[in-house]
Amino acid sequence: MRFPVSVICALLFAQSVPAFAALGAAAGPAAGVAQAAGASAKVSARVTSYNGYSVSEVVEPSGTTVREYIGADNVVFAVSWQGPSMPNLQQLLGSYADQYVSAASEPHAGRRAVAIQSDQLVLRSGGHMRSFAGSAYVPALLPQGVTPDNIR
Amino acid sequence: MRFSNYLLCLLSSLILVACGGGGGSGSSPAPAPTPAPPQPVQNVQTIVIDSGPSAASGSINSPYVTITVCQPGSTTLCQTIDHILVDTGSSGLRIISSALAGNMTLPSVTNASGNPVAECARFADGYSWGSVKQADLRVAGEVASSISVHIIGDSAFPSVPNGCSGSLVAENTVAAFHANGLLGISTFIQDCGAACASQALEGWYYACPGAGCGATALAAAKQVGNPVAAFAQDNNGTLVQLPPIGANGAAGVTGSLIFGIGTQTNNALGSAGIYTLNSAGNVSALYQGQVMQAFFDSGSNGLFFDDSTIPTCTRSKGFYCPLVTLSRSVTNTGLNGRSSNVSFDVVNADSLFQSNPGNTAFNNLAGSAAFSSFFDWGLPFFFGRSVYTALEGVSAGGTTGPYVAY
Repeated sequence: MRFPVSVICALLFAQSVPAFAALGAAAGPAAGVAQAAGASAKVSARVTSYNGYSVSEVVEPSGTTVREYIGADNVVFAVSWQGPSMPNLQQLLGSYADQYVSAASEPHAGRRAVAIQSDQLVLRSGGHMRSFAGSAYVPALLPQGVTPDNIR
Repeated sequence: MRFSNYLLCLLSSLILVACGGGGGSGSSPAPAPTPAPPQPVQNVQTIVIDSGPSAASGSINSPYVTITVCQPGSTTLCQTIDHILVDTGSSGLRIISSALAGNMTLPSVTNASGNPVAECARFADGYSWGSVKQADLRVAGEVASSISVHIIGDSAFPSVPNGCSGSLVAENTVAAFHANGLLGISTFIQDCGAACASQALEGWYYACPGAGCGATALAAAKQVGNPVAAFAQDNNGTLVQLPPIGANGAAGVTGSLIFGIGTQTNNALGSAGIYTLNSAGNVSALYQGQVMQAFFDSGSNGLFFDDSTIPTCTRSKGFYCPLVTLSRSVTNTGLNGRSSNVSFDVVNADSLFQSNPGNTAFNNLAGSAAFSSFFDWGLPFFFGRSVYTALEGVSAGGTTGPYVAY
């Protein structure tokens, strides 16, 4: 229900080395969430492939699930998170972190949430202590046929 | 003002000694005296919804209380601090360091290795960094002794670790919080809990032996937590009571923060419905056909949910500005299966603020600053209601928390 019919035949397989990268960057085994979480941290990861993109999912030591959406060109076009702790946004957003800072630093309602809607970055972050969720994507990088509803 | 509050404090503690200390055992085997009924503690603190602390006025829908912090064990080395935000969406007493008097030197909280501890409190929109210190909290007639308090923005450990600053936006000032501190009274007893007790997690607690700080595990008892759990009585939760207000809002609204649930005559559950919470502190909510997770957060100044059919404001960023006031409803369902339908209005925030510039309390303010899977019952929900927040794992009024009741 969350995905188009074409991806119901999603291929699911485990991958031993999580390949995390920042939004807008090429996915690869270099820097990333798993590494930043600490050498001793136990991080479980899995990759799920859909029609035209794949989702790399890591459960951080805090219990928060972080997903990266990777296009056929190997570029991360979206990220999302859900769990008891906020993820490291600096690492997740990469070069888009500056846009986040300027938007989140503006006076805004609610104090507890951020909503950014621009041509370069669409981001939502909300929740409360012990229960956070959010997502960010770059509209221009969305693969054909992928809608924001696919990012969760 | 500080002085008179302190006097009140002292007086009430004297009264307590006088009334409660009657059971002293003498040497003679006199017949057991009828024990005096325990004197109920004054458990009500006034909530004020005004424009905020002088250093950061302009607040709306912000429920504040005045508290007193003391050096552990002292009743004289104390400071009374106003405009502490009552926050059912987080746990722990957090004080902005600039609101703390220079002579309020508090002992450090240390980890298992004896190193002083600092904390990174991360919210959905930023982070707060500072030392963890030990203090006594006095509020109404209640005392939380030697609790861990987060002193936000102090200069003890100026180098913020990457795991903390990775949340990108620093919120370390009175201006950032529109408050001198937070009184976090969510259903969680600790802010982090078991996860931080068993492992050193980036973005939570840090040990700072010298100039640098590294992530550390911290025993649950040493973590910053809901101070109500540390009270000697009335320690199973809280009740927030705010009066009903009209559609144009109101100024000078006051209410009550009442400690305990079912512990005194003024905090009985009565006819309130109990909605137990899942492990994340949420209930299920159905809004416009969408299933969401809902939470009850007095620290949110509006009702926040994602509805792309409602226009957002151009001036009052983050709030909704429908052309006409909308009536909406949500069905909340607790983990225990109990459901209720809650109706609310969504007003044009730009017009509302323009027409009522002096008002600081509004019950029809809503905004889009939310992730699509969350419904944030912020302060507008609390007007005209008694909202109970019961601590996890504790019996409150015959039901074990965590739950919210209204």
